[in-house]
Amino acid sequence: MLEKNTAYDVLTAALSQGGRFAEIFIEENKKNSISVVNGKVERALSGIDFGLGLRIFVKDKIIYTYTNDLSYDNLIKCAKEAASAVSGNEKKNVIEFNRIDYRKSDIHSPRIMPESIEKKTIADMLKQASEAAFGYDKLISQTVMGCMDSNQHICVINSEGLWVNDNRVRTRASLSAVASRDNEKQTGYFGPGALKGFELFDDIDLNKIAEEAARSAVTMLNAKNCPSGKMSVVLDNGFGGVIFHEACGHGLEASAVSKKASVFADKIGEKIASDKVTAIDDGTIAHSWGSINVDDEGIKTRKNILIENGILKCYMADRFNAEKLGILPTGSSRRESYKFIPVSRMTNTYIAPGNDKKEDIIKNTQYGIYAKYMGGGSVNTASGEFNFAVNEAYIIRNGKICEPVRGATLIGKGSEILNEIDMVSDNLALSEGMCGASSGSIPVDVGQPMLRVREITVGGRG
Amino acid sequence: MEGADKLDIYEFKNKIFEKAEQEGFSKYDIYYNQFQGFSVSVYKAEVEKYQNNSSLGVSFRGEYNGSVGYAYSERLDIKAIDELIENAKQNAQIISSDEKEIIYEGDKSYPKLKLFNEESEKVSVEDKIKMALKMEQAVLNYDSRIKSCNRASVSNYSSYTYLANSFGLELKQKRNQIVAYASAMAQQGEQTKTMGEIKFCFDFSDIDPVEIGRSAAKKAVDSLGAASVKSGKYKVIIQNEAFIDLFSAFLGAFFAENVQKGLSLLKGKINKKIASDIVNIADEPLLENGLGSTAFDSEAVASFNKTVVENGILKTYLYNLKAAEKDGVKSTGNGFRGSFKGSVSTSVTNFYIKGSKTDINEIISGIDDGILITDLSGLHSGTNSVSGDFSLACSGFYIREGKTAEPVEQITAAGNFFDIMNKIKNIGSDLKFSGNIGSPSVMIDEIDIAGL
Repeated sequence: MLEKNTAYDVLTAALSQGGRFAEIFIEENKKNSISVVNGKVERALSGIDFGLGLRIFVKDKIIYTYTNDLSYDNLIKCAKEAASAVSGNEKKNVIEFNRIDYRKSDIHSPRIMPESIEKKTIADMLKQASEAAFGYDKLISQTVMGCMDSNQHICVINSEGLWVNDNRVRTRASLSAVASRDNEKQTGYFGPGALKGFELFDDIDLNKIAEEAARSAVTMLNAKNCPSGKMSVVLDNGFGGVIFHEACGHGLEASAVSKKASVFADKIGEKIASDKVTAIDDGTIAHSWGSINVDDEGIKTRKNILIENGILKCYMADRFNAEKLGILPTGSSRRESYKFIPVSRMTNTYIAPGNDKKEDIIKNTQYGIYAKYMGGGSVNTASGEFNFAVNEAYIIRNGKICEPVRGATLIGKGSEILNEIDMVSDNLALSEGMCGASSGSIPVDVGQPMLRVREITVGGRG
Repeated sequence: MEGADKLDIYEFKNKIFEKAEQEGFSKYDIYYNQFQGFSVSVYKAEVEKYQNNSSLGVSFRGEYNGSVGYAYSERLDIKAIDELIENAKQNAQIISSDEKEIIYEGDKSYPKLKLFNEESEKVSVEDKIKMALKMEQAVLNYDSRIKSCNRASVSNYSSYTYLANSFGLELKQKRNQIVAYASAMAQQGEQTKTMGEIKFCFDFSDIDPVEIGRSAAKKAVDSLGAASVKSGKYKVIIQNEAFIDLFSAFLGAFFAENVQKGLSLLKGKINKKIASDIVNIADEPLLENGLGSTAFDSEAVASFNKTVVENGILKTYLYNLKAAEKDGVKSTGNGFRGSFKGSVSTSVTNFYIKGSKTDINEIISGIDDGILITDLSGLHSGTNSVSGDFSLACSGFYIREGKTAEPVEQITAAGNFFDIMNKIKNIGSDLKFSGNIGSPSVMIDEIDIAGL
């Protein structure tokens, strides 16, 4: 995407004022999306994101600049301006580039390129999903069915000789159904996606998922308000993993740890969770929504065991914060686009399967909430306080799942909640989501087997 | 790909319009945005991050065989023209919605607004760094329990918007803004609290770095020692910043397009009571020094100020052209695109709940037993924008015998937005804007709090 000499000259200019490291990130991202409302195509968008981000480390400072103008003159001007922002005392030369093209050894390579599919075919598929949702129940008053695909070509070049090319093809559907009665409205939503092409739709049954969204909406429409207070909560597998993502995952990102703005700072080797908890961040899972061959600073992803049987083993680290902490980068540096400085982020993060049986977890709970589907959440890493929403919940009474309840929010502190996980089953599943933080919104998977939190604060109106 | 064929936007416009005409588009427009951003943040008395960014992008939108298709690009070269035309054509061909998107010829005149402050562009990098350092120092000096200032940053942005259509209309708007932010971390025993203070403005002279730093630090220190409270129903005051967050989550209810789709509970409520008598809401694009001020919307409709709620009565929805056509009314000039990457939907300009003359302390002094909510979190997940239901993590202070007392944390507040709008018993004089949304503090009779 850039001539070798241009890259060399830009990086050289970037280091001209005594910087110790410089890096170019270029991307071209072709995106398409179609949105079908109540069975009619309402929006169809296509676009090309294109630009370059230049990052320079001078002592322990980061300088960043981005532009869409990749002409030689403009890039040299940007590099010189950026370099002059802060001066350092190093005399680094740009090392001869060693090219690695991950497009040739891509374990995630797509079988059916999205651009090879006619837009009408996609629209028809979404219309069918809409029909499936409407057909589920006459209480369904509205459906919004969407499909998006993106084809991101990235190129990372740095002053230490790294030159990496990769391509990331992602496809995702978003299916939502609204159930209404009088002034009451409840929404059911699913967003299945993968790091693959349109073969995604051979692997999943969109109509079934649309029906499930409708079922969830109708169930919640008929539910009463969730009770509030401290109680036991059983979180089902899949998107239930958002609890670990919020309660703990963000606190294990080196960007928070290096500033000690995390309750988990300086805790490597210490017990931070119950024995039942082993947690992993693995960016290498083939075709998983949160996977990448290489991270956004060109480092190969890997399987990082974060917590093993309750003991904190490692943080997720980007280059800059890894240096600060005196550890190695873990292939965790990510950014939404060239407009963001990359920082340590999660990929596919999950709690490993345990030995408990699903049935036993419910059976052993006298009173509490069974959270079947979770919504999103957020966390303050410094205090560890997190919150997340439950999209579909039920009361557990005397070891049995009883009536549905709605409007539940779970809150707590990460350091406390990890010790409250007292049962972990064996049915691990992953689920797709978008995670927002300082380097933008990125695709991630969360996951877990069904597990129980002995006691947590449940917020509701009942 | 080295940008040899790069065009400036005016050349680009002429070339793409020529091509659109050849390819059979009957009406079309382009929406172009150019962005320039500077940001510096300091940590431990030194510059930590320094950013200087620029970007641009253009969207082409055209009517083809009766439907409107979109495409955008951040690459402005000859190749992009063909891609945009081809993609827009393909996208137009699959549209099957009954309501047609309108490409508008434009209004006769547009309000003249001052949105660009020349002086702000002259402030040196050194002065911005000094400002950030002063903020950090103010945070650190505030109290011995302050452990760090996680971030102290000063940013300024400018943008240029250019809209042109096949009717020959050309609109241009230049704007800039400044954002100063400080985040303070306080610690006491095992408890850590981080709080931030943000200031948006047009003029560097409106930034008092010491005040911003002290305010962030005060918030963090004041919340130390916080504990949960017993679950139950409480009388609450939701402080201005927190109420802005809550209000923002439900703005969509005021959009005509959502009303028409059955996604707003304000359906059928025009000229009916939707809030307490003391509630007045306006959308004012012509507001002086408003971050949402604009002379035109993304559909080229000239801006004007609107009263949305008057003494609790809903006066109008917010319209884009398509929704207005459907209801047989005029657009309110609220047809906006999030950026050139998006399509036209609806958005607010400067949207705010008007303040009263009552001092907030006077409202607090009237409460024997209640909670002052200063912070709400989890807004993107704990709210149902359609039903109005919310259940959110929050923190604040206990109010005892008319005075704010000990800090409160690890509680949730749950209710229904439309319900609480009717339960607003008092409004403070402390109107505050966060970006383009504003609210004073409000007192609500009863809300469900979950804690211990």
